[in-house]
Order: sequence, then C-alpha cells, then structure tokens
Amino acid sequence: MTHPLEPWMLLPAIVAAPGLVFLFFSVGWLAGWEPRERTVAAATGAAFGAICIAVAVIFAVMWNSNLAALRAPLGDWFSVGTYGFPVVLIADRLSLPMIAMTAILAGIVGSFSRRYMHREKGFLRFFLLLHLFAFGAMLVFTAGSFDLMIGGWELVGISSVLLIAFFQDRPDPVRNAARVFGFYRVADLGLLTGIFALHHSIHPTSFEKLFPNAWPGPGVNLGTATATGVGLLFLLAASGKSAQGPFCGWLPRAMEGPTPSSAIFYGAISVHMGAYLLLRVEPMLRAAPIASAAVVVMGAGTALLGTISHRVASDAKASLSLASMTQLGIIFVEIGLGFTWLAVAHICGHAAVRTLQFLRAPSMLHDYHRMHSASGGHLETGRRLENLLPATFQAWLYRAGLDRGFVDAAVDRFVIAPAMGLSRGLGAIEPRRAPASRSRARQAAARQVAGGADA
Amino acid sequence: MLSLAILAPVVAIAVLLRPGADRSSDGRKIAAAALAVSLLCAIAAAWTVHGGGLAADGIFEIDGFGAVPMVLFAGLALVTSAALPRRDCSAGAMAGLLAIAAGTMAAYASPSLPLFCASWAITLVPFVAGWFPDGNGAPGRTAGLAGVALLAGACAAGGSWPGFVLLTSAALLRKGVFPFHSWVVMAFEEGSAPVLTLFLNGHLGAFALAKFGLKLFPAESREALGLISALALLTAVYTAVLAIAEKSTPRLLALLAVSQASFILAGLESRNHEGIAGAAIHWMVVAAATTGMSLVYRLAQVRCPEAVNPSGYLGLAARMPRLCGLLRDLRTRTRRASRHARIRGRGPAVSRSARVEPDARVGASARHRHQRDHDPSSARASIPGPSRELGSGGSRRSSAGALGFDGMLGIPDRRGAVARRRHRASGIRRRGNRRDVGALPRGPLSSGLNW
Repeated sequence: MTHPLEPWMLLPAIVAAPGLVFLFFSVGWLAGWEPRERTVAAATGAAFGAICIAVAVIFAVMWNSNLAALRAPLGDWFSVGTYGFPVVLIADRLSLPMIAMTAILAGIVGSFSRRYMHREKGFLRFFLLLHLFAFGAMLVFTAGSFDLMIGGWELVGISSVLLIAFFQDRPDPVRNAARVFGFYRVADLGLLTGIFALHHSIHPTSFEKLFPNAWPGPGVNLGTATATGVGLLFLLAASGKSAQGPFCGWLPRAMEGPTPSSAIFYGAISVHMGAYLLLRVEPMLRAAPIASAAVVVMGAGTALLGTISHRVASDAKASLSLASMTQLGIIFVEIGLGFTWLAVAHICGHAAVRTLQFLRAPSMLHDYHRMHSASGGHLETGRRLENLLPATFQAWLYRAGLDRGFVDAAVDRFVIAPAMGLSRGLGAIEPRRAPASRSRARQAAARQVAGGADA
Repeated sequence: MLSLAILAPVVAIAVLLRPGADRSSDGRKIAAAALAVSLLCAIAAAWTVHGGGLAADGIFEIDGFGAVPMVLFAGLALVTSAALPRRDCSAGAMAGLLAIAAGTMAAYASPSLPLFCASWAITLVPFVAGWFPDGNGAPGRTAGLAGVALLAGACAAGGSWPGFVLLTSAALLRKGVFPFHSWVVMAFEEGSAPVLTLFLNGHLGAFALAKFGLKLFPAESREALGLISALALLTAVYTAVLAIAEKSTPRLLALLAVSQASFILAGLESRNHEGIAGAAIHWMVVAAATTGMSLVYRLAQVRCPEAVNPSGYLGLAARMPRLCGLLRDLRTRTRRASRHARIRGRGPAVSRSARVEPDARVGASARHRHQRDHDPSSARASIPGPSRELGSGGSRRSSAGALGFDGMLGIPDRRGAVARRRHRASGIRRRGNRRDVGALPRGPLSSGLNW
C-alpha cells in the first residue's frame, strides 16, 4: 500500500497546517502581539493554498497508483498494557473529496473574510477560530479511528459555538450559542456511547479493524445487533451535527454569527460532518436494516420540514439555513438507501452552492431590488408547488412552517422543561450555605474592591 | 530529585511562615520559585521512570502511574500561584497552596499506606490552621479530617474487609462521590475556587484506590469493583443533572468538577487497559480545564464581586462599575473633543452646550467656574451667545448623547429624564432639531469610534 515516494507524509502536514497557524497567532496574541490584518490574511491564504497543493499531489499519486486508500501510521500516542491509542491518518475515496472541499472552501471564505471583516473588532479572533475549525475538520476527515475522530469532532463543535457567539456584547448570539452548545453535547453523547460500545465489542476502533474492505466495500466485523445499536447511536450524533430530526432547531439560531462563518460552517463543512460520519459507517448501516431505515425516516422527515419552513422564512440567512437542512435530509435519505457515491457528489455540490449563496446573502437583497427596479417592478418569481395543494392545507402548512414544525416548542416542553424541573427538584434538597453568610461574603468582597485591592 | 520535589515547597512554607514574618505580605514569588523547582524535579523523576521502572530515594518511590500526575500537579500548582489575584497571594495563602502541593506530591510518591495517610493529612493542614484568609474551610476541613481518620483506621485494620471499607470510604469522601458530594459544593461556595480546585485535582481518593486498594485488598477490590464504578457513574450523572438549573457559579464549578472527577474514578475502577487509559487522559484534561475555569472565575469575581450569576455577565455596566466609569469618562472626553471641533466652525454651538453643562464647556476658564460657583447669574451672563432654556436643542443633544452610551450600557439616564420632565412641566413646545438627536454627538473623534 505504501508508495515509494511516501506521499502519506503529506497527510500529517495537511492536518497540522491550520493547527500551526492557530497556535502561532494565538501564542503571539497571548504574548501581546497584535498582527496586522494583512499578515493574518496572508498566513491564511498560504496555509490553505499549501493544503490544496498537497491534496492535489495525494490525489495524483493515488490516481496513478490506483490506490484505494493512503494511510499515515504515526504510531501510538500512548499505550496502557495491550491498549494503544492509535494515531493513524487516512486518505481514501471518501475522505479525499472532503479534505479537498474543506481546503478550497475554507480558503475562499478566508479570502472573502479579509474584506468582510475588515476593521472588525474580532478580526483576529475570527481567523483564529477559522483555523481551529479547519484543524478539527481535517482531523475528522483524515482520522483512521473513531478515537482520533472524536477529537476533531469536538474541536469543530467548540469553534462553531464560539463563532455563533462572535458578537458577544449582544445577548441573543450568546444565548443562541449556549443552546447550540447544549444540542451538540446531547448529540455527542451518541458518538461517545457508540465508541464505548465499539470498544466493548472490538477493542481497537480503527476503521481498518472494523471494516475489512476499503471504503465503500461491504462488510463489518460486528454482529447485527451491535451494528444496529452502534448505528443508531451514530445516527444520533450525525443528526445533531447536521441539524436533523429533533435537533433541527439549532441551525437557524446559528445564523447569529458573521456571514463567512455561517457559510463555512452551516453551508459547507460543519453540517456535512454528520453525513460524513454516516457515510464512513455505511457498511455497518448496510448490515443493520433498522438503522438504515431510521436514517431514511430521519432524513425524509427533516427534508419535508425544512422545505416547508424555508418557504416562509422571513430573512435571507435563516431561509438559506433551512434550505441547507432540506438538502441534508435528502443526503441522509441517499445514505440510508445505499447511494453512497450520489451522497458524496451531493455533499460536494451542495457545499459549493450553499457557500456561494451564504457569501452573497448580504448583497443579495440589494441585487434583488436593483433587478426589480430594472424590470419595471414586475420580476417573475416562478410558480410555487404548494399552490397545487388545497387552500386549507396550504394554510395549515403555512402555520407549521412559520413555527418550524413546532419542533423547538416540543423540545422546550418535553425535554428541556422536564430536565430543568428535575434539576430544580434535586437542587431543592441539596444543602446550601445560609443566605446571611453569603451576603456577608459578598459584602467582604465589595469592601475589598472599595479598598482598592487590585487583581 | 524526588525528595527535592517535595521538600522545595516545605522549605518555602518555612520561609513564608517564619516567626516575625508578615503573613499578609505578598508571597507569590517565593511560592512560584519553589513550585518551579518542584516541577523541574518532577519532570526529572518522570524522565527516570520513562519506559517502565521505579525511582526511589529511601523515603519515597515513584513509578509511571505516579510520575505523570506528579508533573501535572506541580504544573497546575505553579500556574495557580502565578495567576491568582494579588489579594489571594498573602504569605499565609501561598503557604497553604504549597502545603497542598507538597502533600499531594508526597502522596503520589508514597510507597506505603501510612506514609500516604501522612501526606494526605499534610494537604489538610492549611484548612485546619486557617492559612487561607477568606474562610476556606469548614466543609473541607470536616470532610478532610474524617477522611484522615478513616484512612488511619484502614492502616490499622490491615488486609481485611474493614480495612478496605475504611479505605474506600476515605477515598469516596475525599473525591466527593455521592452521597458525600455536598461538602465540595459548599466548600466552593465559601472559599477560593482555584485553591479548592487544586485540592480536588490531586484526585488522591482515586489514586489511593487504584494504588493501594488492589495491592493491599485484592479480593475485596475485585468484589467491590462494580459497586464503586456504579457509585462513580451515579455521581457523574446526578451532579450533572443538578448543574442544569444551578445559578450560582461557584456551585456550578463544584458540580462540574465532581462530575468529571467521578468519571475518572469510574475509568480507573474499570480495571481494563482502555478504561485506565481513558481515565488518565481525562484526568489531565479535566485538571487543566477546571484549573483554568476556576482561575477565570476568581479573577472575574475579584474585579466584579456582584457578578456571581452567569446570567449577570451580560449586563456590563451594572456589573462592572469600573469599566462603566471608564466608558463614561471616555464619553465625556469624546463629547468635549467633538465640541472643541465645533467651536472652530460654529461659535453658537459652544454656548448652547455650555449653557446646559457649564462644567464641560470647552474654554471656560477657572475664573469663570469660580465666579459661577459663587454667583451663578453672573457666570451665566458671562457666557457668550444666546441664552436657551433646558429642554431646547442643546439639552436634547447632550441628553441624547448620554442616552446613546448609557442606554447601551444599561444605565438609566437620570439627568436626561430630569431635563425632559422639566421641559414638559414648563410647557415649552419641543422644537424639531432632528439633526442633533442622535446616539452620538458628531465630530472627528466620535465618528471614528467603532462602538
């Protein structure tokens, strides 16, 4: 499998490049350095440009050598007894398109953001988070084991939440970021528990040991029951990341962040990670019909809900996010039905188109009004499919679309409220300090501040 | 090297608490120097046992299982001592921090249960002796002393069920495993979060069970494995559920620390390679994360003692009066500067502004101010330009400017409200000078500000 030119050495470099840029600027910032915008943009362009070249080289090598997968074995991070944490990177027919897509789109968004975020207070913070996200995404797409994948998965999650709360002096972005973080944590429980289950069933969790054939070859070293259980847990994780089913409410809320971050996260890369996870374990889903059916049902339901909500959304970014949700639902259906190549093509095409739409969103209305004026106020918008439905049903759909299928309300009422109630109930029986002593401590602290004690 | 790592903090304690020394003086430098020496020695010891082996120097001995936590703990103690706010760095408090560090590192390097018990007790000395200034104390002190008593009982009982039960009880008490979690939460409410976090991040309870439980009580350990793991998982879930609706930040931090610490215990007690590996990684990550969070919280608490509720952090001005004062000051300066710019182009603007706010008037000399204070009517007469009443365009400009900043900061604009009330009471018809009603006064400086 190893090529004489050792192109696998490029894989660690691809993953490390954005991480190193993040580390360089963040350490410099901690040391008091405030780099110029031009410097940050140049470093971003250089990093993603180099990654694109490296990906092209790997693709050429694999194409010429007819390799199904390129592995970069970097040994074990640590070992305890018979267990070693494997650090293996992989570039195969699934991960290579995803890496290329990430490098190209992140580079484009970085170039766009240089102008869009010009003189913004959080310019450096934005680019730091962009690089942290790119590092996490590269780690997810090149990880050769689930143990390594979850590291990148969490980095993507945290950078996503921090970018939603980018405008941190306003309450709404912070509140929405906290909600998105909560959704991510619940969904990540599925990934964690699935990995625990895999550890319990087969001790190593590397893809090589789990799947005997290179992707998308059939076969999985698991029984049907285990495959079904793990498949359903991974579906939970994928649904959270891709805003499917009960988790669909977070995607419109995530539009609080800057537009370029919306483009790269919720139009291009981050939302497709759920689909990537399902594609990665697709041989397992094939061995578990119940899990496959659940994937189809989840995707179809969300696609329907997304398209209804998208048609009545009142702002451009929310409308685009709901349209993304619809397409992701269709991608889930394709994966559940076994159309893996179609799903990969759909992901790449959708990511490219949606990134363009998100980046154009701020000027789209302006352009629309200009075209509207140029056409004399008679811009043809085309026929709507919902007009074919009975009027009563249209009204009902309109109501459901306005409230986004009542999913958020249901989650609030049936999940969050009971959890809060349980927490408050348990908290009521917990011992607490007497209020008097609390106020004394507070007064003492206030006196210290008034006395001029500084940190 | 091993003894030096433990003795360096002890020597520093002796220096800080020497007779005649001022305990309220800043002891940060001495503590940081001692902990840096400890860290270097711990790294050297860990390097010696790298790849399997044992480092011993007569009293203490350490293997790979103890060496990594020792390095980690020395590093955490150093970071804590360096980052604590100045008010927490008295000689007494630093001696307390050093005692926790010395005791914990000695426990990691203890070859026997009695020595481990003595080291455990050393970590409690600052709580018992009251070295920490802000009353860190009662819950931790009680739980810690009970733990020492249980541990001493385990030493005396020898290799039997009572000994194992006492050891396990001491470990669960120290870690705050259900139903002993309450002392941790209450201690966080009362004391300094970074110190208590450091105390908890030693994970001496889990370490005792993993190191001495299996060695001294092999049969009992195997039988009780399931129960301890179940208790740890129950604690992790229970405290996580409690944290969902918790409003108090210190309690939230404590619940988080207990929940994560219980996962570490569950991993160690799983007794399989993957569980122990996961617990070791989790130990390092959680120790670093909770130390960072508690330090951030303490620094915010020092700067803003009222911001004890996470939901309050968004109300910047209400919660952070110093920062608010700075912004108000900046606002005044900005407005003055913009008026100054207006003076050059339009003279009457000066008079209008000065009419409303004589103190802020650019160009008003000390003589004028003195004269106004003693004879306001003469001072008013001395200001050039047409006289205007409160509530006219000038007043609206200044109050609108104030409303722009203060409204953003959440400060009620009392002066503007008074002016508007007076205006309504006077019955003067509001004149439309819409150009002046803006969030910010216009001028070269204010237009360049990016609020």
